Amino acid sequence: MLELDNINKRFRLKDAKQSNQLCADDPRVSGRFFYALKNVSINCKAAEVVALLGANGAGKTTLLRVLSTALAADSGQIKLNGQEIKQNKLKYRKSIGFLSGTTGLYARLSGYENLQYFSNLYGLDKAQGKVRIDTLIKKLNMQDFIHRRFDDYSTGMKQKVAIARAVLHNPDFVILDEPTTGLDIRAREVILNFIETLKNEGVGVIFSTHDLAEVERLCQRIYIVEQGQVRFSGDIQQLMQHSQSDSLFDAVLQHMEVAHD
Amino acid sequence: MIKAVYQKEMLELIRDKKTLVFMILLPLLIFPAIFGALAVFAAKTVKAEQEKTLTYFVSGAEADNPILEKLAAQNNLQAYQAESLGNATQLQDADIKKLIQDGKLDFWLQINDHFSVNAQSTQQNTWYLYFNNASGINSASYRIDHLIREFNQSLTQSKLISFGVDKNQIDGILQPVVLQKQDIAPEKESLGSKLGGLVAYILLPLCLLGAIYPAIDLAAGEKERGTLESLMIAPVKRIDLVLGKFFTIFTASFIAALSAIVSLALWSFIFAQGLAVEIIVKIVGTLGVSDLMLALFMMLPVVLLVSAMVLCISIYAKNFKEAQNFMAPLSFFIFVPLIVAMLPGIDLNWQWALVPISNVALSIKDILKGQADGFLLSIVWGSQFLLACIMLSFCVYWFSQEKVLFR
Repeated sequence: MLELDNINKRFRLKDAKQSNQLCADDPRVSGRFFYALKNVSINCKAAEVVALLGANGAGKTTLLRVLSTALAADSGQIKLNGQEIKQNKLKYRKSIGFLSGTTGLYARLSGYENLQYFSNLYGLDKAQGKVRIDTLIKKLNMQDFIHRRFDDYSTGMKQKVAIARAVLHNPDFVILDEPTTGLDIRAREVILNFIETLKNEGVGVIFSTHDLAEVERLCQRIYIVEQGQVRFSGDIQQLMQHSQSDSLFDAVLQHMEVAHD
Repeated sequence: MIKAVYQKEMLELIRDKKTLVFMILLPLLIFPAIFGALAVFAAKTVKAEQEKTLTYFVSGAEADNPILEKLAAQNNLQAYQAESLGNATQLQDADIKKLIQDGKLDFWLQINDHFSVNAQSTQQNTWYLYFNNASGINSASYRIDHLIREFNQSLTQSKLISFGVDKNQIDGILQPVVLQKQDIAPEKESLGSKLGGLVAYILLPLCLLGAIYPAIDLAAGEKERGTLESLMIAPVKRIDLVLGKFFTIFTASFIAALSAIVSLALWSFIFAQGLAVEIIVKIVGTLGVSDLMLALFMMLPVVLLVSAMVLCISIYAKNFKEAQNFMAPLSFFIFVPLIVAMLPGIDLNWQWALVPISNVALSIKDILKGQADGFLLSIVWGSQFLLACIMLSFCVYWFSQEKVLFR
């Protein structure tokens, strides 16, 4: 199980001007600091898909970045199978795959070269890496373009390679930040099917999204994050019961509005 | 892991046309082409100016003034045709000056009316030479100076003879002391002294130029494109990432310096063989390949230092544009010590061996002069290398700072 326990994260504001700009309507600003995450606790089990919902700027990306170790939490713990990761971040990184908001790949290399590079970074040997890359190329249907330069790709092609990069090293948990944003229907379907496959293979997936159809289709549990805090955690049924609503859309919206009130 | 990062960065770099231009093409072709073209152009211009026939006008001279004869005897001087001026004697001073300014006349010699060639006369006369030296290479002044010197000498001699001075005594009176100068400095030392500063002055900025673009691309560029985050979450030690990037920048910078040296040798050879330019033939004949190689070896720690510096700056910058802005002042830190090293009277010693950049420039000067002191060179190398290591450690520290990576 992957657990985030009581995570807090704040950022120092650059100057008073920035502080004033944010201060007007954001209670997370206090003095020269912006409190992006406050006592956030979430978890994800193996073979489980967990969604992070919330408005833009709610703190979802910061949360995922902390989870990926791109950002360090000011306090709280990240645990993998009950073990605190602080002492062994490199080992932890081999157990997780992270896809950020950008594809995070190199434009002057081909998709294949990008995957080869990351397979090296993740410690896969040449033969192992080749087998894994070839498998992913087939799974994500990338045969036609994988040897072309990355900057010639469409958004969908880029996202497929980026997802392949995130799961290249067979991680136990995959963290995806809005993986289907900006994709056409076909590319989106490939990605969603792939997330389902990951789940069926026993991989835990945490992903942020604004698309509730994806949530209904894939997720066992939901976290609603607003203003740096978890406002709801549970499954879809619990969310609807809690908000006394028949539609997921209304239920989520209700929680987001409550948070803003 | 350093190798994996290095190989990938080099592959990306080689696929970037801009980097190739700064790293290889610019030092290899453009700079020498510019310098070569300038040298040829300057030489041609000076030669043309020296051989040019100058048109002159003399006023105030008696018909028997020997200077008129002397001027007329010069091959590349031609008296202004009075007919074309109408009546030359009626010309006002302003008209003549206007003719000079308009380029119709090259110089005007205004002679004192009271001048006399009489051997008994002891009066000193002042003549005036008017010419236009706006271009800075007008040879009128030089040629007339030379002519008047000869004229004065001949007049003085004839006057002294008329005063009864013996011919053999004349030299003793005119020039009681003759200073015979003999420069016993070996040609290599003399040439090395003149060229040494210049070589460093060309090489170091090229190293900087070769390092800047890859550094911006590899750090600030990665931040901007969002690829840095993928690297940060990979199970790789930060020091490995930094060293992989650092060695890439170092390679680019060193290739730029190497290209410059190769191109200097190549173009010198072409000029020496093809155009037989005297000075280049002399340089090629005097400086050896081993000197240039040693100079290149001395460049190594500077290239290390520059690479670490630009990587530090680039990782701090938020994006490409900010990195470019931050890099601009760096040129001053390179050029000022270089200029200092070029100043006359500054030689490599204990103190200067510890001054970054200047020490390497002074070392190169000594190497090309053939006077390099091995001990001082090793101090220079060591101190620069140490500085580069400190800068690199700082780079690793910055690479682990969230406030730097996510500015």
